Amino acid sequence: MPAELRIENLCKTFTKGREVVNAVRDVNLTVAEGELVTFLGPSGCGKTTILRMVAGFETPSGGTIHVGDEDITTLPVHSRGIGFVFQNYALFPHMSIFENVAYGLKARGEAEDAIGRGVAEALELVGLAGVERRFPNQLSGGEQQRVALARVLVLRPKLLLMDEPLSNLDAKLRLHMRTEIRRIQQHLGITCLYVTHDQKEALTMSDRIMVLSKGHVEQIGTPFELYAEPQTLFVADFIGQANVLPATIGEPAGGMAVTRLGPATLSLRCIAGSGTPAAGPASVVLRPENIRPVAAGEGKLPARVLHRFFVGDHMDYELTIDDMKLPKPLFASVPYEPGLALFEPGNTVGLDFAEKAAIVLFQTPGG
Amino acid sequence: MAGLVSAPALATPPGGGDAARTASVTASLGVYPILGVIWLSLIIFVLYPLFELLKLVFWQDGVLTFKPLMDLLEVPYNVKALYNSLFLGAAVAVSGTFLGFCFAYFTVRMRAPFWLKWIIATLTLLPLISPPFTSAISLSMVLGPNGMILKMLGIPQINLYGFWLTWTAETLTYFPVAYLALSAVLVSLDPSMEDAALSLGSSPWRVFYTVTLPMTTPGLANSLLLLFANSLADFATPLVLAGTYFPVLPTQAYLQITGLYDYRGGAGLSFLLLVPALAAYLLQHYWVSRRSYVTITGKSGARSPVRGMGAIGEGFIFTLCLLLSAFVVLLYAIILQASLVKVFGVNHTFTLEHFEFVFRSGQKAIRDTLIIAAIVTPVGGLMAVIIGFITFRWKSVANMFLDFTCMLNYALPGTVVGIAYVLAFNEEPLQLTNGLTILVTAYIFRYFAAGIRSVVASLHQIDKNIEEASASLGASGTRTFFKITLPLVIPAVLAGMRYLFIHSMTAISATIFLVSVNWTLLTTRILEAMSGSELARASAFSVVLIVLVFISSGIMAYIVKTYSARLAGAGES
Ligand SMILES: Nc1ncnc2c1ncn2[C@@H]1O[C@H](COP(=O)(O)OP(=O)(O)OP(=O)(O)O)[C@@H](O)[C@H]1O
Ligand SMILES: [Mg+2]
Repeated sequence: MPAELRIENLCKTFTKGREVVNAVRDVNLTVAEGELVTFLGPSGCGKTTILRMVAGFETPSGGTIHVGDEDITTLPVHSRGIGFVFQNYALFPHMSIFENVAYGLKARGEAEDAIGRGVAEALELVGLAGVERRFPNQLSGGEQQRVALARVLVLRPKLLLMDEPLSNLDAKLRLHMRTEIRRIQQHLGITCLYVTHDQKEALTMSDRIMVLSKGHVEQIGTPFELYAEPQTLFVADFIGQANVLPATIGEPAGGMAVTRLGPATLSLRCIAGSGTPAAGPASVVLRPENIRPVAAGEGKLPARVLHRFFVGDHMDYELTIDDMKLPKPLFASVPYEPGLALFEPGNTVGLDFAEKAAIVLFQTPGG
Repeated sequence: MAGLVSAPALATPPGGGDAARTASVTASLGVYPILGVIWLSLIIFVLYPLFELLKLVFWQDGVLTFKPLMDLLEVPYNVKALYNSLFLGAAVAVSGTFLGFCFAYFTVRMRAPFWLKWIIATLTLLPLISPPFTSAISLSMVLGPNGMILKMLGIPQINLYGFWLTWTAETLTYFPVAYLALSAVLVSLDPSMEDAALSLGSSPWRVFYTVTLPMTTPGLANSLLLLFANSLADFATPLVLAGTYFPVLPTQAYLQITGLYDYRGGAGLSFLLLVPALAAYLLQHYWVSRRSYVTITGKSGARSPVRGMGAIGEGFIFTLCLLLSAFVVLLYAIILQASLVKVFGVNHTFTLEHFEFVFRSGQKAIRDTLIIAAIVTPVGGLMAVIIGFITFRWKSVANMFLDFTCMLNYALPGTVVGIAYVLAFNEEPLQLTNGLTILVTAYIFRYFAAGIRSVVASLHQIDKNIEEASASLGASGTRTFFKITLPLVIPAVLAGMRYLFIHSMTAISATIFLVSVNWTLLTTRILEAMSGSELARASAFSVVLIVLVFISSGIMAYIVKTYSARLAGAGES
């Protein structure tokens, strides 16, 4: 039966000789029954470690893990009833596909005929009926991955954990498998934790995403929330692309703040929870698709074109604002339409955006 | 350390195991009682005999003393033996490594018909599974006084006994060890580095000595040390070929005990042998083999076809390999012929009388040898699995010491082990001489180390996710061990058992001290025949032994191969 997962104050410290790695710091997360939550973050941020603690392969240094009402923090792996799908599949090479999928049922001591039925059903579910007698080395990567999934699903786990399950597949197969996995997960209503490096994968298949950085949680939210209202510069930059401009704000009120952005003064939307809401230095985030160069003198800010790239369905510009000392150029992405005005590198232009597209974070880069 | 049949598997793989996944598995196997039994047996059969040996050398009238050792070194003949042993070891190491490298380069790096490579690779393995006397017997018929080749050259008077024949025979016997170690290294050298050097404008020969050779250096060092240790420990070859012209330590120690009944002197000479042997082993095991592995890890992408070293070098290697292979064939053919004619070199009338003798008078030796091998192989194999598993899974200082203790008898020359066993088990409370136990334990504790190595190497190769997958599918630690881990290491266990089998059939250096009227061995019968100058009978015994070993080890190799083929490729990405 699917169940709710509750992770509280989870920590993990590795000691390698004298070196201490805080791989996971104080992570809190509740995953509702039937929900799929994806962990997203740069390499080494602790995604795998959290997953392995939930599975029971690692012992947490602190915190608790509950599935339903049961505290499983110290339960042995084999008593947890949690399915784990490995990046490298980890099929048993000396067993046929049937024996692989039947493995968990046999360990549980199920009857022969129940095992036969379960295996057939599970292989059917992943679209692999008929390969029972083959051995893992006689299957393609994608097929092996599905067997790994079937081997776990046949046990009807309370919780399904997947660590970059698709990263060994080619792009096309990945696309196919991700809809397939999502379909099966929703069909069975399984609670699921999913790790991926692939942003698109995370955005398209998750109910919610947890963004991690250096072992701590940056933000948890639906894909849309993360994109529209990133609470940290890290999230803004990590999910999609972001132009970050330094700004100074007045006292915020009613979710809005008077913002001085270079020579312009605007009233912009503030993101609650992105730091201490107070007057002072802050940052303005603008997505590339929300800004565009216009004729000089128009728009909200004066700017200068550095480069122009035509990408087909849109035109990309690199821009700079001369008296704002930007750490890196601004990036604007203008959808193609007939008669689109072109600006040459070196041109002085205006920079235009809708006020509702700009969001204020109470954070400054590097601070 | 005798010939390594499974040298590639003996390289120590990189990376530590994972402490986290171990605790539950080891604990649930009830490891403590097992560990207790293992330690008890190691104390009795490894540490105690060694202790007795050292006690005899350094303990006199209740005080610690270096006097017996000093007395030994006063005798010029003993000093000469020590010097000869080291010199011979170095010479064999160099020549054997050179030949081994040429053969490895030929089979791995040169273009030649597949069947030719196969034949040459198979021939190279022949000395590894032959009893230690084989090359000595046939060489004395070929190059000895009145030897075939010398007669052909018209110089029958020259006497090559001593250094030259011993060196030739040991080189022929041990170069396959170098071949195995170096071909493993060459196979895994990524040819794209050589391609890079070629494309930068180097000639093939320059690429060979600026890129290929330097990258093989750790492997060469490894091979030099292995061969040095093998030669140092060799007892049978110098016994037959060195004679009194060229005394070496193993034979001197043997004669001291069997001829003069001077146990203290024999123990002292063994100690002189023990020191360089152990040093070479430790250097090889803990330093060089680690380094050499570094060069052979790492996945390469698309592999480009291998390149040679240019026409002159390749021509030289090709000729050398062919000639040497032909010589090996000749040596074996001579043994066969000598066993089938009345008197080799004098009367070449066909006769089966020598084989009749072997099967009549040698029947007991054949049966005893087979019984002993049949006991040693499974028991040693089982111990290798258990110890390999424990030391791999459970990293601790105690287990490092366990690992070291298991390797001790393997690292020490057989003569040392044999003398230590005689000293330890000659009297109550552990009066084992004259029995089966002493022979069986001598073999097990001497050769199971190779099994442990290959089990540990294969445990390293098992993806830890596979065992984690088993656990998360609900299997307990015990179930995971028996259903997943054990089946996956079986090829390694079988390889280790094959090694045990071959060596318990063919070894002599340790057991020559331990045979009795009750239990005797084929190898000791060969030695008896040799010392009675009955070359024909010695040849017939050798042929029987080689055939027995060849058939049984072939069967075991076949089982390993079919079983591993099924595992190949799966379980990884
Ligand atoms: N067994 C271990 N011993 C020591 N340090 C470890 C161990 N496992 C992980 N770490 C460290 O913990 C940190 C988090 O590792 P983790 O594998 O969870 O990262 P990840 O987010 O899964 O990265 P990736 O996306 O590359 O898979 C890393 O800095 C890593 O080096
Ligand atoms: Mg990871």
